[in-house]
Amino acid sequence: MDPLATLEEQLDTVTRVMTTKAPIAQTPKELVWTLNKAKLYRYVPVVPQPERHRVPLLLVFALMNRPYILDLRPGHSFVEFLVKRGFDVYLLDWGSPGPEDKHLKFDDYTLEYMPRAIRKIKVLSDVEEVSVLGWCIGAILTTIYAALRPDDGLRNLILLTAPLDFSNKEQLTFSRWVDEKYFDVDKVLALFGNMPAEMIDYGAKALKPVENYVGNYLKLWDNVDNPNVVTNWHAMNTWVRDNIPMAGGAFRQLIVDLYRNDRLMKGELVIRGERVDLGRLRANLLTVIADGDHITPPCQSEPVLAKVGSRDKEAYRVRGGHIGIMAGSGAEKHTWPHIEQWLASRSK
Amino acid sequence: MSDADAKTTNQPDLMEKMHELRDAYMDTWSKYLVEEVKSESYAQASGTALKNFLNATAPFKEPAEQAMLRTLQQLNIPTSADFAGLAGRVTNIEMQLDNMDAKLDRIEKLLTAAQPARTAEAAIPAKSVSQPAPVKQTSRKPAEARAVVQEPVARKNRSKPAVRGSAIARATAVKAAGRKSRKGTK
Repeated sequence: MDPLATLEEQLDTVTRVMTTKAPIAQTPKELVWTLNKAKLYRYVPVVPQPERHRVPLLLVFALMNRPYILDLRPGHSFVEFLVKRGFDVYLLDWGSPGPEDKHLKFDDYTLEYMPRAIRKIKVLSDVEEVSVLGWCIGAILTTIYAALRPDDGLRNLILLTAPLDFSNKEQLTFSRWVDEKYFDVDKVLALFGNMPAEMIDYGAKALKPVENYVGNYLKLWDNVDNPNVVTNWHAMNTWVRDNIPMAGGAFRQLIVDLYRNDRLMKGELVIRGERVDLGRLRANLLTVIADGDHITPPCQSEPVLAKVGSRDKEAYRVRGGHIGIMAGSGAEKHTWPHIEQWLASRSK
Repeated sequence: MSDADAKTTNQPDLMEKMHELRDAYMDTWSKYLVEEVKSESYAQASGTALKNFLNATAPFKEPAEQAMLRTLQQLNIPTSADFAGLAGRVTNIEMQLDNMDAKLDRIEKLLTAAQPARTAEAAIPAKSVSQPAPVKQTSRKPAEARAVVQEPVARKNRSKPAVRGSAIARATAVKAAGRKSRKGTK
């Protein structure tokens, strides 16, 4: 083939995947509940009722990214993987907060939105118990909820790359950046209302600038003739670029209560007048830790095991990064099967 | 081996070498920059940049908002504050509906649970009807008890504009804490 024609074709591919949106979140689902911007979806089961697991699973993702990373693309989707294995899967999409939502706090997410969504799940699935999987900030929310409402029927709790312990300041680059000497959170929120998506995105990418701003695109160029890599890159790029702001109230709590004062692990975090006591968390617990996570280093996720009141608890360490452990090529071989096996034996 | 063959076999090697060199260079840069962004000096520099940006932008925010507000009011057009207020009210209505939905679900559950008992009652011969068939309330107790326990929470939520009213929620919590402490002192 003519080298110029090949080059032209390659440039076309690169332009296409960098400027268009990939078809993502394709697993069939129905909207079953809404509140403000939050939406609860139920995935259409593909396994007959008698063969399905009895306890439904609710997926809760972070507040500042879209949750469809859990259902990235057909053939490479955690949701699809679970649905095919007989789980009744629900997804809570927090939506994008508008200026009117700047007062939303962890209090609202954990004591208004989550209990209501879980009640709806219990009614729809006709059960008294549920499992919840929380990822990143979603893991903070689910942990708080599980500790505040231990009798609400939460049977299994899975935490993915959960930033819960903020005591090791040396390991946490974010901690240094948001120190009160350098970062005036109130001034930022007074100006913007919500924490802008662009600032959050910059913060996450700046932790590994070369990989995120150069290496990522070189990887695409190197594999531009490999359709599989290109398709996956396209889907990931669609997700990475689709950021949303974080509600001002919740962002302030994240910085002041957690990053600066580590109140959750110290047992000093107060949500609507209730102190969050991790010892009251009794659900079966699996915490998945990414060895190479630069956003949530393992030192943030591991200590929770010693604090919770759960009898059945396990830490599972996987090689990979913050997102890679669930959306990377190794996820299907390691992380997903482990979660599925752990959950299946506890969902009867 | 012909020259052409040599060229085709050498070319990938050359490319590979270039890739290796590039990757090594990138790796060095990556390690250096990762350490750099972790440093105190980077935190300080980015903090200063943000501070300068905020200092330059913030003074214009208030006057710009006031001017916009006046213009919109003169033109009889709703402001963003009006929309925010409206959104809060819609969310409150949504929560009220959700509370009603929860109540309806509970009623439906109770009715479904009572149905078999009634059917059984109707099937009993007339003689023994005078002795009412024991409606198995005990069998429903755990679920019902839980529903009753949850109700005050839901009722409390109903009066709370949770989304726009975090301040109210906080005030309620403070009141509740006060009540608790008063009880404690008694």
